[in-house]
Amino acid sequence: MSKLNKAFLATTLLISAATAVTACSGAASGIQPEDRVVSAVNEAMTLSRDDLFKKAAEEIGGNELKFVGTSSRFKKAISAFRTELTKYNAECEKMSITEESMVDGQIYEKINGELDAGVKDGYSAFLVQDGYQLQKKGLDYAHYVNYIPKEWKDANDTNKDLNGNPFALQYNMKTWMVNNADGNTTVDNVWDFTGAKFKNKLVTMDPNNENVNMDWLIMLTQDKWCDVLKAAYEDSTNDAKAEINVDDYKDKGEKKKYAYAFIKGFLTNASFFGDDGKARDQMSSKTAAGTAGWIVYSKIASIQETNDVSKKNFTICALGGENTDGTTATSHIKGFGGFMYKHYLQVSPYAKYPYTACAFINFLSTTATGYKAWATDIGDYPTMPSINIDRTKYGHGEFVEEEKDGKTEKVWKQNDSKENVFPALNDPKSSWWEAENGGNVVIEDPAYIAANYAEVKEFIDLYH
Amino acid sequence: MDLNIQSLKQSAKKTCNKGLTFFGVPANTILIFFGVLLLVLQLAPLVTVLIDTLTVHLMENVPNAKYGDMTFYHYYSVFGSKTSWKDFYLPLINSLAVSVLACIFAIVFGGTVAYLITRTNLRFKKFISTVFIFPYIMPQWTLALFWKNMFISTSCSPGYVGEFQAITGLASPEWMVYGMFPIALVLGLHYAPFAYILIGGILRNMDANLEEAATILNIPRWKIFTKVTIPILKPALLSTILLVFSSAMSSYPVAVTLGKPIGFEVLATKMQSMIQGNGTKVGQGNVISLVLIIIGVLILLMNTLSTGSRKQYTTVSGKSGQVSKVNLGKVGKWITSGVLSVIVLFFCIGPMVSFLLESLLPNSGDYSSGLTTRWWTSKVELRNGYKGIFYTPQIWEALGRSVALSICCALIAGTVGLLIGYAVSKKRKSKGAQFVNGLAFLPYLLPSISLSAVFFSLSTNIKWLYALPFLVCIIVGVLKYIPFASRSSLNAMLQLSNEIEEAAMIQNIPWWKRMIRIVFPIQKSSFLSGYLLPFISCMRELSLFVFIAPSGLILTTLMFQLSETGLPALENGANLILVVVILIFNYLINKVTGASLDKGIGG
Repeated sequence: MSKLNKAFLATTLLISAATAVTACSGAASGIQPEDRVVSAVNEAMTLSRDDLFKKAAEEIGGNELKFVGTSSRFKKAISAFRTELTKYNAECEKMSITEESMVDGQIYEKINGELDAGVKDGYSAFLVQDGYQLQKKGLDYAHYVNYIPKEWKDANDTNKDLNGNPFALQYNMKTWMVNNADGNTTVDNVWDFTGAKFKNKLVTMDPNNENVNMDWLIMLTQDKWCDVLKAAYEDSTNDAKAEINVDDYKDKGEKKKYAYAFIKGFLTNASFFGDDGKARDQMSSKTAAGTAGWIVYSKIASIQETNDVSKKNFTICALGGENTDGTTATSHIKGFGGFMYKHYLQVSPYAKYPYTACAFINFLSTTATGYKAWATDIGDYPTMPSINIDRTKYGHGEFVEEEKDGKTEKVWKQNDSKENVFPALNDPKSSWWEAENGGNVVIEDPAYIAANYAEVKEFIDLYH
Repeated sequence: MDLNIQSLKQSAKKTCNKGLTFFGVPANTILIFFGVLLLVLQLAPLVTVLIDTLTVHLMENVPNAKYGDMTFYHYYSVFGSKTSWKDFYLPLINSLAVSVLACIFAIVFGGTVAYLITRTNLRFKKFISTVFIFPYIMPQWTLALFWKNMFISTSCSPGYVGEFQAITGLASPEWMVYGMFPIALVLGLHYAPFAYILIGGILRNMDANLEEAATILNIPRWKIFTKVTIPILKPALLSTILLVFSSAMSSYPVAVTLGKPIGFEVLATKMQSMIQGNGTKVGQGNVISLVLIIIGVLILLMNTLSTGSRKQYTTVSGKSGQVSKVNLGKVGKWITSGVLSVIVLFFCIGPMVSFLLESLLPNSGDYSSGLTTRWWTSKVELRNGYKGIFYTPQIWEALGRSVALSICCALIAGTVGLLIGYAVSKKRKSKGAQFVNGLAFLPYLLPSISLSAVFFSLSTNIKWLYALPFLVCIIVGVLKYIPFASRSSLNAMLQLSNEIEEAAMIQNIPWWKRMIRIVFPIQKSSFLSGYLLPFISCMRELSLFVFIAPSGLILTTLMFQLSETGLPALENGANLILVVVILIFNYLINKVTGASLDKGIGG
């Protein structure tokens, strides 16, 4: 028996080790995109939407396009996309797109797992976030193929340098907000969040849960943002100046000491939650007056109005409490008003249906119908602003009684010409948020984050 | 030459006969077959974890090494660097403390209830017994969430008033809401049904003659309890400690809910954020994973040593099994029953009431304006394609697939576990049996998330398997849940005297008939719990299927999507449906077979 055991043990050890090694061997050399994919994508970039859809319709027929995203909203565009393709090929009526979504850590593991194993009928395209992982895992290693829609490239309002490579669908924004239900809580300088006043009264998402929450901290160490932080630190509106000694971090550099001091102050004061929604819940009610949050802006839109909880309790620090119209907004905070991270659209180096993948990306990023699922939310800004909905008076409107499912209930009807009920919802255009004299938001830069991640992360790990 | 061939033939025949005799014993065949199968299925993940601890991963910054290189840096980083205290030693201390406390809570709570149910004249036994297993049926984090919702106060979160504070006006201190105490307590409560099932099973089936003999000898009751009852309970206590300690050590959801907000880390939360996070500490995460596995193996070895050294713990024989009941007294039985009912109601029904309420609230935790049924009944789209729960087909389809997956896993894992338990008990003195026994328990020690990642990686290399994610889920589910069934079966078999089966063997009754007609019926309740435990665990599992099940395939992965979409009410509703479905199944099995988790103990 013992001999038998030994023999089995030896054999199975060998088999298992071989299997495991095969599974682990992610080919350190990286993934090489297939020529047919690269040439299809190159061609797609020269084609108009019509021509591309025609090619895609021929290619996909009644088959399934595998697509995965960090945001599940793309699935709302599937039906309209199918209708578009059916115009060119009746077979497409039967086509489908997988509706899969995952958080950023898992999505790269799954995509690259398929690519490492050489799965050729896996995901054809992806909607991913986190510039850091995209740079390291997607671009440097797996060589995701970049497709830029012709309509996007030809448009006047798109920033080719900033969003063309890797191609970004949209910005998502995290911003500073406070619960001002008591009418006394205003914050006019980002350094205020690092002071004792906000100790354990600042809610946010855990950087270890979703890496974009790490990325913005890394971005702050870029010279441009160090300068911004320095100016804000020295401004008279900084209530925490006496509490934070930036020279404690002078070993990090004359500029960077401001960033590191800020990061430490932020991490020390913040309470971390599993997601932005849970963080928001901590600061929504009247009883939470005086609490601040660094949260995805769109999260406040889904709050249901009740006696205690209301969107009225919120003030977006950059917009101020009296924000009547996002078009005429002026910044109310020194420093930076938020952080814009991006949703990127990429084609798989092994895409089974490369034309269809490009066509779907084109549809999502250059048509109002494709982008509709995101456009209705504050805090989401397409990189092609012309397809967005004007939300500058999104907080204007009224509650009307409406019959729903046989019951009468009060329903919010947005109307630009009505009263300004929720100032926090009057969302300026992305151009305002990006402008230095506007929201002056930090924008994700994958290359910078990738280059500086290790150093800053080591510091962050000491305090979180 | 002829002689040689003749002797070779004879030797071959001898070997063949030996083989036939060996494999003619069902226990041997079972041990060899499942030994090989489990070895192959488990070594791959183990070797993968080991390789991962020695490899530079794509996102890691290791001095003087590039992606794919072999390195010991991860070990240095975990055990000897300046972040070791924060990343490893402190979480390790926290994990050990939480696990020990959780064991104490589970055994005291579960054992006391088991004793009261089986050995006293307590009232409302059926009710208490039925309801007591609810915390185990529910996902761990739901109990944690319930605790948090109940006790969170302005002492720990500025604007969030919990139910207790809302009712009494008293603000619970932070240590009661976050940190070691609530984590250990919630884990203890979650695993108390383990203690209840294992200890209660023995108490119920225990031969009363042993205690009666002591009573005749005028031994005081406390001495009978400590000298007779407790030693008989030893295997169950050890199994409980083994299960609870290992589970608590690798438990993630409770610690993340009740620890993370104040930065209280345990090994599981550290490992999870390292492996699943941004990829910069995957190697370190795997080292911690390995540490968790080693701790688990050590516990397993301790248990094996103890099992090997102990005497035969036969508690079920062919003789009388009348159990004597302790009289709690006229008033005492009502007071004890009342207090216990309230406690059980609070911990067992409370979370479900909480889910229901949360699914009826306009905003999470907001009771200020009454309740709404819109999250259940809305025919109009609420958000991102989702309507009210009743009108969202994705929820019901995912539920159907969850049930199908759980049934498959339970049937296969239950049967395999039963056979392994049977074979191990028959050959318990042999090293081979102990080896297979250990092997069958090993998946319990492997972190679910690691198993998921490894099997995803393996399946991508086997194209036909990759195209069938449901099948991969079944394989991983079976592997992960065999320990429940094999433990349950082994415990049952260890109680069963050999003489019962031997009587049938003398009559030349074939093995399968002995199993179906004798062994299974006698210990039906324990064996069935070997099917029910995998079913329940599989129904509420998320981490294990996170990489292999496409999102929305099963209810738990869909719940994650609902959370991401910003529909916590739907998520809570789906959770409630999940728990109710499990309870319905438990009830149906109880009705059809006359046995269930609680029935097995004697409610």
